[in-house]
Amino acid sequence: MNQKPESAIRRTRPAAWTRFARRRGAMAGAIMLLILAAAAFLTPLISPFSYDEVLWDRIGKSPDIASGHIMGTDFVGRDVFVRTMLGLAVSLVVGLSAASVSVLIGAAYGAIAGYTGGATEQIMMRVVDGLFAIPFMFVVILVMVVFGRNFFLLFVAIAAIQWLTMARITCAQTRILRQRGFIIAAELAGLHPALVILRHIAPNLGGLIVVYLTLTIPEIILIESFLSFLGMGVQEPLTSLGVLISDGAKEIYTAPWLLAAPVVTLTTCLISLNLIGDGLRSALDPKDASP
Amino acid sequence: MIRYIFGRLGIAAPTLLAVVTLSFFLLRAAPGGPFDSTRALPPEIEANLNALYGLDRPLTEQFTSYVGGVLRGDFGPSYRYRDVQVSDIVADALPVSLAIGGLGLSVTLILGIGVGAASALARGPALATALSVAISVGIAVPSFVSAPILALIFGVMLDILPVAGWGGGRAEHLILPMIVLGVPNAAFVARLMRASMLEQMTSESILAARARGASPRRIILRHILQPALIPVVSYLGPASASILTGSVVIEQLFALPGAGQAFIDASLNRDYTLVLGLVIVFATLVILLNLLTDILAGALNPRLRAGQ
Repeated sequence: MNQKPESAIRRTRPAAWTRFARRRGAMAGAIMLLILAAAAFLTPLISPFSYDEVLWDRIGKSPDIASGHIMGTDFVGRDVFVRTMLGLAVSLVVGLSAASVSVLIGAAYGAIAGYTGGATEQIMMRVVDGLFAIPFMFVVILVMVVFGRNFFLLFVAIAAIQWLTMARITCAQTRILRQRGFIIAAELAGLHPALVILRHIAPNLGGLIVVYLTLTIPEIILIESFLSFLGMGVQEPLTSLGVLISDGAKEIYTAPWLLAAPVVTLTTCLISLNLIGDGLRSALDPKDASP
Repeated sequence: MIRYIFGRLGIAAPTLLAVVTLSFFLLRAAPGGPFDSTRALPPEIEANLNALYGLDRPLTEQFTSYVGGVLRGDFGPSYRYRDVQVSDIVADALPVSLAIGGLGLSVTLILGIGVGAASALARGPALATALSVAISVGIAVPSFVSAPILALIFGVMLDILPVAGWGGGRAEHLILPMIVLGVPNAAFVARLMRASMLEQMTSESILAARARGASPRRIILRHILQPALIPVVSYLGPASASILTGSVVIEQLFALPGAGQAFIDASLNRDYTLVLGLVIVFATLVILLNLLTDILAGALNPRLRAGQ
């Protein structure tokens, strides 16, 4: 690839962070996510109620400020706000950890395929093509049926689905990097291929990895909620947003606040993550012309 | 083109075989047999049952005879329902899922391409912002959230649509499932369509067309819309997979007797042959649709055919 246009871009375009901060949608997303995350992780420390404490005098009460149950209580007499925040915390932790694992697997696979090239790359990427065509949700449910509802297994299964897109993108990017001067120089100096990937390719994939990490987290939160909704994810008394939505949907006619609390939380969380991901993508994309 | 089609077939066929093999051995490795119940069976009866279902033969022999059966459309007997063939259950349930899935895919394409194009061509920041907010919300609201809310609004408060049930496939029973299934995917298509149209709008071919004196209408239809549809066509395969997966939830929410419902029931019942049969049917459908999408995308975009 030609070096010249890139250096020209560097001079005229502000740094990625400034470009990100100028995007109102992305900044709004970042602020919303910070508030949500703070609420999710601080509520258990601050709130007078706990997520599994049964209050016998408050079974299925609607929200009221005076009693402190700002989102009401469920039919087991537990505080809905505290449970929703716990669900959000579980979703965020699962989302972040599974997304990190899958993005790293995808990036490593793609970088090795793209850097090696030739027949190896062809075979590795055709395997990805094949895996793409498998409806993985059914395989995940199959695995859950066979090995029981195991939280760790759920986590592994989700990570195993999500690495494919990352592998494709990294492979394409590495193929471009492979022809650049500094890579050829490193090769001529006799650097081991593994070190070329680690020291010279990986740092140049950083932006891409960050962007796809933020875009993968909401997808994983959705998958986890989907499986929990079907009763195959997190088990009681621990909870996740999918479990809360599934429970709330059953009581929609009698106790709509049970559905409203997790739905608003999940939707806000997903929207803010998507806004951040889109903002990062256009801030780091050299082709994007907007300042 | 022919070489390209054979290349794609060369990926689809081994993938399908891998799915069948993996699911077969995964289910055979599952703890607990199909006839486990609270009451222990006398050993002779258990041996007879195993012989009836061919479970006493070596695993590889079971596998080859199963694959042979599948190729003839025979998935064996259900482990849970006596004297019922898996093929019969699939034949009853699949049309329901295909009807909802087909309608959902139509909503996805019509709504997605329409909203995406409108959002790319929108004049004025107000409309563009409104459409882009609508797309973000559409992506972030999953079907298991929109279904109960829509059922509450249209089924209970307005009382104009049935809340659940199949009703022999009458139109009013299909409207809510179709919308709930189609809208999240439509939002994805709309985002894809908008991005790809915006890219086409800045390309030099537009400038060239304008210089030749092409009418604005022709520029939009021929030079922006048409090339912008290529990524949307490529997304059809993943979209159909996501619609099939979504129909598992939709069928639960609206109590529809489809293949997704049968799959969840079979999973909870540990009806291994039924689960296996349904996984193979779903996987075949998705792999075939992906193959069709790849061929269609290759026909539209010569660069795809020319090599990776």
